[in-house]
Amino acid sequence: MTTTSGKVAAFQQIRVIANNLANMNTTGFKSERLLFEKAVAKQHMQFRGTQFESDVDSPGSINSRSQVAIRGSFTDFAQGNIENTGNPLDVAVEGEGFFVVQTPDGERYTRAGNFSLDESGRLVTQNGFAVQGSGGDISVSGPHVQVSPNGEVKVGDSTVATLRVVQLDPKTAERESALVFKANGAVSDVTEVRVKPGALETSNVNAVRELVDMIAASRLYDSFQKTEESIGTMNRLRNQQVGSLEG
Amino acid sequence: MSNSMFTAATGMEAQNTRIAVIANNLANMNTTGFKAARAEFQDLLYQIEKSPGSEQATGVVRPNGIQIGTGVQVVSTPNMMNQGNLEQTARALDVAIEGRGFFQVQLPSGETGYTRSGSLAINGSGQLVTQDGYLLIPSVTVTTTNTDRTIGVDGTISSTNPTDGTVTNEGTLQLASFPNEAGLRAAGGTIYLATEASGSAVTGTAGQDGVGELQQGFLETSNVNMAEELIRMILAQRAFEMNSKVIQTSDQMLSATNQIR
Repeated sequence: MTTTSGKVAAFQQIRVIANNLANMNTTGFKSERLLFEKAVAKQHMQFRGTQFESDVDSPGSINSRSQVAIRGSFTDFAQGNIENTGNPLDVAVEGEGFFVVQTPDGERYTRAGNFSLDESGRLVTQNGFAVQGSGGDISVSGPHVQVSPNGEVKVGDSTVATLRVVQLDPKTAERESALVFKANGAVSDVTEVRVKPGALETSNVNAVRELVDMIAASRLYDSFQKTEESIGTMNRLRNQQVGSLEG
Repeated sequence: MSNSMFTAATGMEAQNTRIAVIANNLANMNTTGFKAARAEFQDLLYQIEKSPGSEQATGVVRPNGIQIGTGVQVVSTPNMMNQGNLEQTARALDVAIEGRGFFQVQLPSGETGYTRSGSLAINGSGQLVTQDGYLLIPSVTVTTTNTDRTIGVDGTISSTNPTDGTVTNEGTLQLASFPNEAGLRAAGGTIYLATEASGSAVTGTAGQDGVGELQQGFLETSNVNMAEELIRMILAQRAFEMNSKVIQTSDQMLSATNQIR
């Protein structure tokens, strides 16, 4: 039944919205959006008796080919708000670009700059991925760790490393858990690293828009539901009438 | 279909944890040497799904699947080890650490505890203890009859004999520092315990090798910023409400489905 595809699409929209809203307070989170396509039915068929007749969009015809199509989803890389925290290990990327982290599955990229130190003094993300600088892992041993606005990690007065910030191709970037992205396309280091130390980028989820989209999806679902019910009613009526004609 | 409800449930649980952390921070706004904690979140696994029916109808190539996430989890609740303000008390046995480092104390369990709270006292045997009665490590015994006790920025404790004016060096306060202070585990009563994440303690003299200096007559106040905590609490509450709306909407759609005749 074609309305099933519409209802599944509506549920997928709800699930994407649910994940966005669950992460509306997650540092460095990027919301996911669905791309709907206005479904243009190629042909409408009208069933009269035993004949099929082509018709163009005549009202009252049963659209056997109209469906709601979702083209896919894309990650909205719009910048979230920058929140000052005053924490020396918090960093936010200004403008475009991603921090580089090393994971067991290879190099990944993230906007979440709420860094910490591990037991050996390496700069890591909250779940332990090593943040990459110009020379690989960044080891900090000593007090007064600071990050300067051009990405240099300083211990006291000496620079230990420079944070790597790279550009990704948004079309091929694939998202994974723990706020990282996998680059399936080209990755290029930015020419000039610009970061804001002592600050974090908040989630870019717009709660109002998500709620509105959720209500729209819910209404769409309802309308498909009602269409199903009326089709069911019409089928029952038709079956009764056909039955009575032949009887 | 109920996936969205589980996703929203993870959101609500995460916000609950955040509120619990904030509540503890606010309850300890006035606790000497308290370090505020912060709940850190990250998203969960993503599933790639195909969208239904898009191959046949329009003939347009679908660029990619739909990346559907499964919610959020609390990944850590680190303590923010920023320096608190120094509050002058003018009490000779109040010592504040300005910079990195912790006092080492002997806990009743035999473990070594670490604390920023430098409100010291003298017990019946003349030893320096914390307000809870825990002995300092290394333990310091003072001459109780002496007066004018001073504690230098490097931790040297000296006092004066009131009768003949001689100055005695009674010992030194040592500090311990860690590679990752935020990884220490809070054990209550402003005592922290070393963990794997924090690394091993490195003892040292105050004012040297990156360890902070001691300020006699001062106490370090809690580093909780009330305005920030209240704002975070409001944001967590709103997020909690949004997630509960997702559950409501999913529930309505599910119950409508069940009513198809």
